[in-house]
Amino acid sequence: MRILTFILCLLSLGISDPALAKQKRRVPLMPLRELDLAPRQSPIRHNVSGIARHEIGLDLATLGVRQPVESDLLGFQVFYGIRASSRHALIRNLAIVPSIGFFRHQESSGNASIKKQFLELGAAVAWTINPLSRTPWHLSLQNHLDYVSTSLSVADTSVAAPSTLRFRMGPELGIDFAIGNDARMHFSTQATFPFESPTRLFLGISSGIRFGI
Amino acid sequence: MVDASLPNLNRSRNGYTFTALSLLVLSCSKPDVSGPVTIMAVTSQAGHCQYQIEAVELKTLKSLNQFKGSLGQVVYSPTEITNDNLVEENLYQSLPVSFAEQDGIYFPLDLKTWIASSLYAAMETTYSLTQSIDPSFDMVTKVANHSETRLVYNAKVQADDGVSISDNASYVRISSSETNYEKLNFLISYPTLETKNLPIGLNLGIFAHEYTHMIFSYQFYDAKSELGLEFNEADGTVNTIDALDEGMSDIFAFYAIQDPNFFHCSFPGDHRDMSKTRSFETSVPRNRAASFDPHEDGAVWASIQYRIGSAIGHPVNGKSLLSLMKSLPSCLASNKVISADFKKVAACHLEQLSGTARAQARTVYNQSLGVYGNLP
Repeated sequence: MRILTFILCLLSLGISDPALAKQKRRVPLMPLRELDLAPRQSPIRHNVSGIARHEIGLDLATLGVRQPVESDLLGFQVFYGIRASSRHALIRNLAIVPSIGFFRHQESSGNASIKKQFLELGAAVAWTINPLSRTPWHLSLQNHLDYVSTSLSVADTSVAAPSTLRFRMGPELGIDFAIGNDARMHFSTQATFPFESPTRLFLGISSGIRFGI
Repeated sequence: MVDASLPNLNRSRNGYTFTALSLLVLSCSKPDVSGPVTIMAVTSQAGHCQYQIEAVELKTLKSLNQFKGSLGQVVYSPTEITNDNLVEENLYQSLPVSFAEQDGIYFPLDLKTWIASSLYAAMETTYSLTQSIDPSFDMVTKVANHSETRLVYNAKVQADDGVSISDNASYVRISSSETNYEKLNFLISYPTLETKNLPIGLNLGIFAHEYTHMIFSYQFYDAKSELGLEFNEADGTVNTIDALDEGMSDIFAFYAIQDPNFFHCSFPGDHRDMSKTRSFETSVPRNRAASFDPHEDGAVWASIQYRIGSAIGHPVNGKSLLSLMKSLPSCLASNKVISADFKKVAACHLEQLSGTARAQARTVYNQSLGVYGNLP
């Protein structure tokens, strides 16, 4: 009898596996542990706050240059542009943020216009105020070197003004919102001042997305 | 072990540091420039409305940063300008300008700087023109406070109907004992809103026209005042002189920029092409009338002068017209009263010419005076 029972059990196992496969049965699983993921990821992938130690980002940016006469908006000449950046954490709160951007502005009167554009090379030192938060605030010191080119045109004629270099620096305040494990929305505002006399305020706002790498 | 590349690296690093510091110092300093300054402005090529952007030398500029020179200063007013506050000193500020310099040529980096450059260039071009056609004529000696002349950039002014003036320019002369400035001069540009073509601020001809109003004012009206003369208010004299003022301004603007239809480049609907043959088809109204436009009859006068100049030479005619402005009050006056129509003005003009030039001018006048009749 025991032998028959044993044989029936063996047979039931043999035919029950396919049957069980078809059956939608919720199988309780243990939650993944940090230890489980660790071997598949880079050891520098995450710090404690959840902000990747290395990130790349792309921002749409608006830069207002203080101009009391003939301004576009509230006493500012408005440049529109795009800025790509990367962020590299040095320690938990501190990171360096190199960037490259391109900004453009055109003012016209009748058939005459002046187009101004500049390539912006940046290097910022950013301090994360609350690194453990899901919406961390960043305070940074921005340093920008602008390569400015200008062209004057009237009707079908145009001439290019000599290009100039401009260095400006100032603070920036930003905030991130996590939108996934590796992506964050970023908003920031900055105020920079060029080293020229008389100096002018460059007020910038930007928004973009950043990905951990 | 010593890395052999280190010294080179240090030299390179020092070079970068030096370059960066040099750039920083250069960007910090913005020295003012005086004396002859070469700037980029819109000038006229041969042919109608064929413009080019080229270097123009401003000989009389004393401060590029303040755009101020011995002929005046380009200024702007943050607040509205009215007839009452026009002469207030604290109403105006120097226009912040922005240039990039290369090989001694200054390129405007924004539109207001470009227009400011053109306003001053137009005035200086006309000033230099009058000196070239008559070396004894110098507006700086005639106008004691010429350097206080204000070229007002994009003035905010409301017309009598309450609408802000735009797409226009004007000359205003203030002779007020209440101000520190006696006979202060204003060349005013208004915002360009409707013009789709060359903005008036960049049209050198338009401000050459306005500056000629200033020349006419000091030549004609000062002579009239010095002689204690009055206008006959009932025979159209005032309207004739107003139209003559406009016509003189048109023809001298042509002399300055060599385009007889420069108005058309900013206002395509205007009929002020000096190269078209025109004659007086109606006489000016006897009394001041709101509907009378002195520019129309002025355009006919300018067309006549263009023809005379084409026959006898524009510099010769230009010199005779400068003299005419000065001599006209006495030429037209009788018993301390000036009575004018275009035939009388033409006769006075002939007195400034001689020989063949006078005969050729008479021929043109007799073909063009129309309703005013032929000269004897």
